[in-house]
Amino acid sequence: MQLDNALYAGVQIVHNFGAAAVVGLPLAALRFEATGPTLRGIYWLALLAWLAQSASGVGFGMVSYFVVGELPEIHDLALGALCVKILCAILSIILLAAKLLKLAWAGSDRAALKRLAGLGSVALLCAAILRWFS
Amino acid sequence: MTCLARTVLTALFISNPWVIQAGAEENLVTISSPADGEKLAAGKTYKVDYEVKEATKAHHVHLFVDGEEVANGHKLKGSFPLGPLKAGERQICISPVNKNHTPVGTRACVAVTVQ
Repeated sequence: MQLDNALYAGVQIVHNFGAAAVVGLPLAALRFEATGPTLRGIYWLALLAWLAQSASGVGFGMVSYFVVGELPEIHDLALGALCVKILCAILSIILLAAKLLKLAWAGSDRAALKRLAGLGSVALLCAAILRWFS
Repeated sequence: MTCLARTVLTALFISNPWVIQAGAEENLVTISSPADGEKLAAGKTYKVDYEVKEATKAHHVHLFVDGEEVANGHKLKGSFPLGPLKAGERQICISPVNKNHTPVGTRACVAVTVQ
């Protein structure tokens, strides 16, 4: 087995499950009208998923740099998509932290879940652009 | 923190005898057209013909004109439309990359004069 491919695959597995979770968890919470401890558990899982997304995103670059020996060549559209993905992760982590700390400015649970689902969806759209453009 | 992470990763990857040393030194791609030193006409469209060696780790290629990436292609043997170019000395390069857009061999480059 080639080390770089095995590492890329490992990082991709984390990234794929994280992607499913950041969109699926808020949508499921909205659909099933989660409240109380269940909703709080979903916020924690979503936070974990976004952190996993961030770490695995960095992981792609690290495998390239440390194993292949070069950083990825990405420019223009792909670079823009990467920046939007990073922004989505930052905003989602801030929003989730605010909900878990019960800060008033985070708004209602329903509004927060809609925002989280939106940010996750935008990140997924950008992932496709980043994958196929450079 | 960054230094620590770098040290750990270096210990894990770079000093690991299994590590695949950077293939970035290998010549994996050749440009058959235009030829190095060829004179091209300004305002006209040409083709860049390239071929990546078989059985390499290259997944696709990136095309650069004067250092700016202008296209990518998923054929390991194919061509890109080139131009129209402005007059002057132009450098055309093709970089073989893996699925993560990371270079896996040296860029093949040709210099052309556009008149």
